[in-house]
Amino acid sequence: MAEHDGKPAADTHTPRSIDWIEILKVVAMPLVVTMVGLIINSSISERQSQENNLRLYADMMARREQADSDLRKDMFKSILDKFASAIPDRKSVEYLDQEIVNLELLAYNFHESIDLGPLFKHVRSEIPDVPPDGMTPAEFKRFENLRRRLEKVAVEVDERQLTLVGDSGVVVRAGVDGLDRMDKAPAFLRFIGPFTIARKDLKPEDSVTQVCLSLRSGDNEPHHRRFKLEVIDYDPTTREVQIRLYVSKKLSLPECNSIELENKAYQEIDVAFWLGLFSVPMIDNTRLTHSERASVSLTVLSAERAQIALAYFPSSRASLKDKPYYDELEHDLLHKESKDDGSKQ
Amino acid sequence: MTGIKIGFGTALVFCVTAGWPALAARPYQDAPRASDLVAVDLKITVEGMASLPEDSKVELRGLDSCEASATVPINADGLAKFSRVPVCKVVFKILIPGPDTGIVQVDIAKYKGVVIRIHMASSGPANATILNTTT
Repeated sequence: MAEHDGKPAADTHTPRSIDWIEILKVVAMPLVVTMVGLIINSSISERQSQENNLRLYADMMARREQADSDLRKDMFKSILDKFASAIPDRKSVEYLDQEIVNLELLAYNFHESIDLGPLFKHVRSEIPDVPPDGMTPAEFKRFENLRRRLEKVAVEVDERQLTLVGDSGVVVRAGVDGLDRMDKAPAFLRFIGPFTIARKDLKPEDSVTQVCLSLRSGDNEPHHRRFKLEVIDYDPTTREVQIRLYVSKKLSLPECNSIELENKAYQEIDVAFWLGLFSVPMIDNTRLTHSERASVSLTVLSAERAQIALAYFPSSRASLKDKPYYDELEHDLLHKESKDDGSKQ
Repeated sequence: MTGIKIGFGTALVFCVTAGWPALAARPYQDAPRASDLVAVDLKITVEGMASLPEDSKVELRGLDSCEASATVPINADGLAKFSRVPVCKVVFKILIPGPDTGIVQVDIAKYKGVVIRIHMASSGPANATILNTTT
């Protein structure tokens, strides 16, 4: 009975199961194909949509960049033309005031792209240092105000650039004293802070001219270098100081911080140059190895005192007109490749 | 007639005699006369250095109204020579790789025809001194 009952039951179930399997077999393939098609289609359309958005964004950015570039070009040309155009009463306060406004526009908009130092010096040379014949002290004071304003613009641009280069580099400052007594000895210069290299028996009247600065460079390794700065001359007429800058090669941290380090043996550069208020770090800098830069800027200058900022930063933060040398690029690429190979192994 | 001839000749001689020095002096009026320019020899020694490194140099700058500016190299023996320096007060800036910059003020008039011997300490402020006694 059980066998009899079981057999027909099995017979009745099997065709139904087969039916389902057959149905599934028939339906599954188109379903899977449809679903895969839908997924691929959706993925492609999503990617296309993303690409379109990206293209649209890039196009908009390019147009915006182009418009900005055109505007800047026109602005640059019109301002520069004004400098070249002849005006009969060139040294009047009104004319100089207009020139300073033009220079302000150029400086605040293009200080990363071009060297404005020559224009600053040109405008400065047109401002008289002593009252011309027949000019009252009150009238001359207006010229003095113009000179101060011009120098203020230069210092502001300087500070902006120091902030920019300081973001990925390091900026340290030193006070300078005794510019009026420079015919017998270098000016008193003192760096303050944790970077300084000084003897233990340092007296208040001793200069502190050396610092050890570190920079995380392109290879992501810290580079330590010794810097030494001296103020060796001052020209009150041009309001410029002569700087002597020493920079060592890449050092280990203990070497860099050692007061006993023999500078000559590790020297990379030792240069002397004149520096005024119109030099800015992103433009007026010294090239170092490993795609690095060092710059010295004058941020304060009076008859006796000055303040100097020393910056150590990667070349990527130099101005737009600063192009890397081929050997620098080659070195960076090769170094990066060898580092990648090393990390893979 | 003879009187006129003598007069013309005298005038000619007078003009030539009177004008010659002025004509001769004209090229030298704007610049210091050659006799005002002297050669200056320096002998520089540095504490702890038997010979001076390459790239050592000395810069000269005139003081007050003295217009002078020049740079010359210093050889390994510490010798440097400025061939044409006006006789006035000048500052020498001695730049030797390693030590601090040495600065000395010199009145060239007091050192005419002698080698100026300058000694530099290896470090510290006001590290350059003149060893000569003035003439």
